[in-house]
Amino acid sequence: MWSWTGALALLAALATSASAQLTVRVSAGATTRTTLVTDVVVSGGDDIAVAASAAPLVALGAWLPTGAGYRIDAELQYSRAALDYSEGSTTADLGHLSRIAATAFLDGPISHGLRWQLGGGRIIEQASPSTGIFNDGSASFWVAALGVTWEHPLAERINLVATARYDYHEFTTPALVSHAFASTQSINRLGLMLGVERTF
Amino acid sequence: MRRLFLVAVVLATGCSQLVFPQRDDFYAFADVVSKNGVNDTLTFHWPRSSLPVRVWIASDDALVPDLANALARWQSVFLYGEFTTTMVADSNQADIIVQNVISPEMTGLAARAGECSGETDLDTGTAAPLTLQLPVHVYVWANGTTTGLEPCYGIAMTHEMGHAIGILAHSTSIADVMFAQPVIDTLSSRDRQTAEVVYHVSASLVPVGRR
Repeated sequence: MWSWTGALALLAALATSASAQLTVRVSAGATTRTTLVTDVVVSGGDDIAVAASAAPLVALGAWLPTGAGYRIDAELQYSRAALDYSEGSTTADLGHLSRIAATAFLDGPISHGLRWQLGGGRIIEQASPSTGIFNDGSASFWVAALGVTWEHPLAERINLVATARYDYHEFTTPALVSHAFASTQSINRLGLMLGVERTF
Repeated sequence: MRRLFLVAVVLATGCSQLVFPQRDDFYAFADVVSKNGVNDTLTFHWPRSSLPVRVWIASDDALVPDLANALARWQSVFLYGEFTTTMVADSNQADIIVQNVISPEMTGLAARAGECSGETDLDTGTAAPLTLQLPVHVYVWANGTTTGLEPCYGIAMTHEMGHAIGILAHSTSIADVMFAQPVIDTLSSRDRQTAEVVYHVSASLVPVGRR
C-alpha cells in the first residue's frame, strides 16, 4: 500500500512544486506480455496456458527537470486484457484482467528528441470474475521498467510523445500458492504509447 | 544506450518459471458397469459448453446453505473455470435438481453419513455415444432422526455434489469426503486432485436433454 501512497505523493509533489516546470502527459497505446501460467494436470496430457491478450492501455504521467537534462517522471497506467485459457485444442474465455501500475523513472537524454527511461514501481492485478487463479483475491508485484521516448514539439509548451516501454515482474497469485504451485513466473511485457504533454 | 542494453540483459536472464504441482494422488473416479460379463468404464465431466451448470433447489429447502457450501467447495478446486454453476428458480431449466427427500429410486451413487443419507442418480443410456440424461437428481435425507442433522447434511451434500460434478466412484479412504460413509465435509487433497483430474481426461458420457 505504501508504494501507491508514495506514487500519489510523488505525483502530488510534481503537481504542486516548481509549477513553472511541471509537465503533464496523457498517453494511450497497447501492451502485450508473456504467458501467466503454464500447467499440466494429467501426466502426459496437454499443456495448459493462461495468458492475457494484447490490450489497450491509458497512462497519466508527470515529470520535473532535475538539471543536466535529466528528469524525474512518475506515471499511473491502466490496462484491461482478456484472460484466455488453452489446453490442446480447447480454448476458453476466463474473463478480464485489469492492471494498474504506479511507476517512477529517471529520464535522460539520448539525442534528436530521444530519451531513455529507467525505473520501477508497483502493480496490482485483479481479474473479473475473481475466480480460478484469482479466486483468492488480487495479486500485487514489484516491477522494473525501462523505455525509450521520442518527443516532437507541436506548439509552444506542447509536445507529442511516443514511448516504447519494457517491464519485468514476477507473477503468482494466492490461489496458485494455495494449490501448491511453487516459485513464480517471470513476466516480460512490452508497451507502445502515443501521448501529448504540456509544460505549465 | 549501452547501459539500457545491459539492464535489459540482466532482466531477461533473471527469468523464473512457476512449478506446477503433480496431481498423482487421486482415487478411481470412473463408474465401472458390468454388461453381459463385460466391464464398461464410464467417465463424466461437465463440458465447457454446458457451463454454468444450472442448479435448482426449493428456496425453503433445509439443504439450501449446505448446497451453497458444497458448490463453493468444489468450485474452489478449479483454477481454469472447469466447473461453474448458477442457481435457477425453475426446476424445468435445471441440469441438477437437489431435494431433501428420500431417493425414490435407490439405484444411484449412495452414501450414508450417520444421521443422514444421500444419493445421486445419473441416468445413463446404453447406445453409443453413451449419454447422461439430464437433469441429474441429488437426494439428501434424514435417517429418521432430528439430532445431528445439520453437520450430516453438510457432509452428505458435499459428497453428493462430488458425484454430480463427475466423481462417479467412492474413495476407499475415510479421510476423503468421497468415502462411501463420509465423516468430513471438507475436501481432502485427494478429493481436490481427483476432481482436477476428472476435468482433464476425456469423458465417455455426453450430457443430453438440456432444456
